[in-house]
Amino acid sequence: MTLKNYFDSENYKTNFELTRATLPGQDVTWLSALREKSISKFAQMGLPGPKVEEWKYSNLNVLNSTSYETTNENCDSDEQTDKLLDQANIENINGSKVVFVDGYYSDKLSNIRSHNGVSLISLRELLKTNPGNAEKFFKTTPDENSLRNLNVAFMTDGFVLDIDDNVKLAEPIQVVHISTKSSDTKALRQNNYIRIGARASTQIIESFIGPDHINSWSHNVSKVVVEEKASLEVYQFQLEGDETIHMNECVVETATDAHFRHYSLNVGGKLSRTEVKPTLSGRHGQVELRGAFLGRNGNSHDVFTHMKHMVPQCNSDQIYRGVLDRGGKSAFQGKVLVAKDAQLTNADQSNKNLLLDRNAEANSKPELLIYADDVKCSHGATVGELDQEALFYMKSRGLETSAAKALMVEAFVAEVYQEIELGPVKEKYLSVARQWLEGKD
Amino acid sequence: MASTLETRQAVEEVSGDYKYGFVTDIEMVKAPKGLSEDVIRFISAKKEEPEWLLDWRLKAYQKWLKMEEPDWALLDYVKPDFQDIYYYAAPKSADDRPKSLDEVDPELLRTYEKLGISLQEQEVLSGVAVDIVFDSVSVATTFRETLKKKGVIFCSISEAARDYPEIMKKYLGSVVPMADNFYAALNSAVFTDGTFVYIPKGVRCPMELSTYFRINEANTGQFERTLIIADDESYVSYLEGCTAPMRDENQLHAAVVELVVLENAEIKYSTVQNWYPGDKDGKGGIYNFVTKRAACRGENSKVSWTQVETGSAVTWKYPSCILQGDGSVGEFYSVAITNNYQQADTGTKMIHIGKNTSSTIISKGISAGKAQNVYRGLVKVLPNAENTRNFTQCDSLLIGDECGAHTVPYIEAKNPTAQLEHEATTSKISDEQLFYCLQRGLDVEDSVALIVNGFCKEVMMQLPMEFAVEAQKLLGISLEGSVG
Repeated sequence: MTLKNYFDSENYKTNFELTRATLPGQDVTWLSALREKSISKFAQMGLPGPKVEEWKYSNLNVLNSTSYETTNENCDSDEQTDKLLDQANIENINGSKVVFVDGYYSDKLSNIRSHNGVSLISLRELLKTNPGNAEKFFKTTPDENSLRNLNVAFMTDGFVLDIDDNVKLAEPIQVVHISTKSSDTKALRQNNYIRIGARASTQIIESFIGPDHINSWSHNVSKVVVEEKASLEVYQFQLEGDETIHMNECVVETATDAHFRHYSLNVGGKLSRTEVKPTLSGRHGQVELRGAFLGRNGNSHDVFTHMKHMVPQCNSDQIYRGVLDRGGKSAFQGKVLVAKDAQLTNADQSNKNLLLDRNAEANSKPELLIYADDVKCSHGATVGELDQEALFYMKSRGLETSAAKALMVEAFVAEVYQEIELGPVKEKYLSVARQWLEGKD
Repeated sequence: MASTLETRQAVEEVSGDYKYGFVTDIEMVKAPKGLSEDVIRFISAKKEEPEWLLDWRLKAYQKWLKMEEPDWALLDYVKPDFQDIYYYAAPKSADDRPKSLDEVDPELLRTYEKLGISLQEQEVLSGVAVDIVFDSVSVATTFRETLKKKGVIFCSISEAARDYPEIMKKYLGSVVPMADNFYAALNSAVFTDGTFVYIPKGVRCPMELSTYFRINEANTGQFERTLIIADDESYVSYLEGCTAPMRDENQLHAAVVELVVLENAEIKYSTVQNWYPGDKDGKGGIYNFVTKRAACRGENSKVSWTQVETGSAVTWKYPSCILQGDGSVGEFYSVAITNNYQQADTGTKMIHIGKNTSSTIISKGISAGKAQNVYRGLVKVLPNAENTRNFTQCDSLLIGDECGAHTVPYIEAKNPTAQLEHEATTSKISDEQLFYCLQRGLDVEDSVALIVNGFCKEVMMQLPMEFAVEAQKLLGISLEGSVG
């Protein structure tokens, strides 16, 4: 008997034919047309193989053995959902909370507080009530990115956050994506849209969580627009189960004087890929990307950043740290592009990786593409083990080897999160990292 | 900045006139245009090669036919038409090989004089043995006797195929397999000449070995093949330098260089590349697609690549080190200067296989005019390579706002004891530095030359004395006063 190879894009075409009638917005003309175009474009392009430079280090063969049909709406929250929700919870954060279960907005678990000038709604709801309004978030033509096409073709839900000019939200917005047992062998695809109006500001905390031993594919695409003088901070926690495929793409555009900050922490998933792609298209824009990935026991973490400096006088800064223990693998690919006229650009990038075991692997590909002359760009990348001298020093002071190691790794990871002003979030990052170090992730 | 404009003018002035652009008028013997098995047989017959080498070439040709030209490099050029190239051209007098310099075609000697490499002078004064390759056939070899006494073999690769078949069979294609990549396969099929060096056990080569390559005759692809073997406990320093006449059509150069380093041996390989880069509108110029690789097979062996790349319209070159022997060392020092419409995609690969291996990469890229300069490098540590160490530094300098400088490093570690560091910076000449020099009374041109020389110093210092002079001259021509 030959095994069916689901890597084939035919599989997704068949899936699409089977589920298209049940997908949200099936009666919205522009959306069905877009879905149709997207799936055929995807079928044409296929999944990116290892020969595609951007996917050089990711082995998408893990998608071979499963067909990943679209998840069904899971209305009942059970004990497990509550438990996961509790795990993702951050103490002392009281803003609006949006919860998705298996890729669908859950009204029961969410708590959206109304606020003047803030519109926060699920994509499915928006398609029901005002589909014309949702249209502007999407391009009418299919993308050159095959996975984004796949996402648009199958997306079941997502959130749309639109903040009016001058509105400063004091409380962060929490978004939790939960995958349950029923998402096994299925795919959750969400498409989100965030717009921060001029001079407005907010913070978003986004968590992805699921149980172990569930082979689901959680696939999120977010489009973010930060208008003039606006500020957005995104804090992501990727706490998926050990068998989950996690993909999260965040495409950002910043206007003049805008400020965007993105924090992430990846601990779960069989294959996790975090893509952050900011385009600085207004002068004096500032983008900071910070992240850590902790991998062991078959975790494979990919972090892909693509910073595009399109106009002069912008600053960007990236700090990524990787810790790889037995069976962990990572790839950091960070590309910085400085366009022809983007003079006076400052762009920095740093990626450091710690290998804790013989059976661990770290890959790093920092890349600079520079077409302007009056710029300061730098990148640094290192791979190494723990400093033996520092370890010896601590041991000579009476610390156990394991405690000394944990202390050093914790300090290594903490560097990423030290600038966070939101106390509870910072504490959550550090406690998740600590739990991972203790082997209880 | 006012100096920028001056600079640009200076660059134009300097690069408008290619000093070495002249054509020597010597009759050539050519193979018919295009590539086929017959042409390969013709080349092989011309070189009086043994049967096994012809078979090897034909095998490579068959593999090449199935390969596709790579396009992953950040280069934009018109792909060569491989049926529109002459694969063999030799000076007519080659059939009747001269016994001494007096017998050499006086026209040839005059060419070398124009290049400033008078044979007699070198023979007498510098003590460097020169194996000059004029297009495809070695026409004069000096100091053969001195080297022979030490047991060093220094000859053309076609001679080596005839005289030392055992060594050739053992090592040819052992570092760069015949089908390694598109251009290496092409070279394996049609290589016309090149240098073969064998340094026996325990011998420190008494002089620096040097080959000057020259491309003449329009439309002749130049397919050099170099094979250097340093046996246990030996040392050799090899210099390679080149200049080419001005031509309108692109000339293709696809060389292969293989280095084999055995226990405790060391090879130092230095290159100054100054082929015709095309005119200031990007017309003409050499395509330089080179595969250079060294295998450090023995314990504590060492390879050091130093390159100064100033010429060629398109450069595609990654001198690499396979650090197989425990404790072996690989070094890569590079200065790449691109101006006008030149494009360079160059860098190195360090593959750490053995324990305690270490590598250093220092790359300096300078980009001016409308040029694009890419550093592309790989540092790879395999699971069994304990305690490996790598340090990489890539600095880029941009001159003018229409050029580009890019850095694409790959770092892959599969062993926790590896210590790998990579850092890269990109900037222009700082106003403060320039101002400081100016207020000390230097003019803009001298200041810029001073700063750029300082920028490249780490690499220039690695060049052997004889070469440093030429390299500095070249830097002078391509950069002095051309940066701001």
